[in-house]
Amino acid sequence: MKVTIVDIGEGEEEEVILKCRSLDDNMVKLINRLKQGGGKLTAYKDGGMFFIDQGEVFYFESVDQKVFAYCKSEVYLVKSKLYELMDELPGWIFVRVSKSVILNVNQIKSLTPAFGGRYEALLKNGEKVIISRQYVGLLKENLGV
Amino acid sequence: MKRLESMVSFFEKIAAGILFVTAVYIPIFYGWDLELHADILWQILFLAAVCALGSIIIPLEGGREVSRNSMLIRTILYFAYVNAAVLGCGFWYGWFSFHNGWQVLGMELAIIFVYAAVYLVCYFSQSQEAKRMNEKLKERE
Repeated sequence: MKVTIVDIGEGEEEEVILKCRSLDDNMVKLINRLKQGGGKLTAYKDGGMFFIDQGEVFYFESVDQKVFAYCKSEVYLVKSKLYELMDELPGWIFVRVSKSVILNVNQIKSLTPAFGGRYEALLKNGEKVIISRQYVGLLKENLGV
Repeated sequence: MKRLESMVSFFEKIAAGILFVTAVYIPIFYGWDLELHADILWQILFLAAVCALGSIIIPLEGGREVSRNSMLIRTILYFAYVNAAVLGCGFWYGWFSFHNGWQVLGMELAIIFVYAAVYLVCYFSQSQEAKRMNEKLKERE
């Protein structure tokens, strides 16, 4: 398979184009990997160590210098700082939305305006996360608005 | 820079709001035949600038991240600041007299109207932005 990387200009949206005759299993896996961020994450819970898919994490939150990964219903401890996670996680999926939260954009169900120029993100598991005014620009950039 | 942009945006909305309520207030309390000096235009612009300056002194958006309670306190403080600015400037410019209760009530209603109108315009603009982002979210699914 030929891999071509094209340099794009400032402000242009990054894009992956797959040219294939048919969508076989490998292609579907590749698409899912790109869409969900196929990487694994080392997380801890009840004294055990787990490897969770990055795409399963709804958001990461820093509380009292500890970082937690919030999945659909489980919460894990992550031994990385938020700024380290920002380097590790795929930027087209995870966006910093406040000083203490990194949000998985694929898990947002809808956005509504909140008090004082902020937005409230309703997640697919029913949880709500506040997007600070300061970080709205990053989310808009990610969504291509 | 963002704060300055935000202040200019506030200034435009507040100036338009004050101009509108002035157009309503003057005929009610002074009649349609009142002749005005050009000074009033500068007074309106100055008052709008003072009110917009409050958004930098008591930032309602941008800058540091704040909690919901802090945002509520800021909104109340900003409303008090706007009240003081409008009533102070209005009294100084002779727009009303504190001895006339109806005029004071009229000023207070005008303040509430402009405050609510600016808030609603900002909220509408945010709603439109949220709508665009929601459309993009749907496209991603």
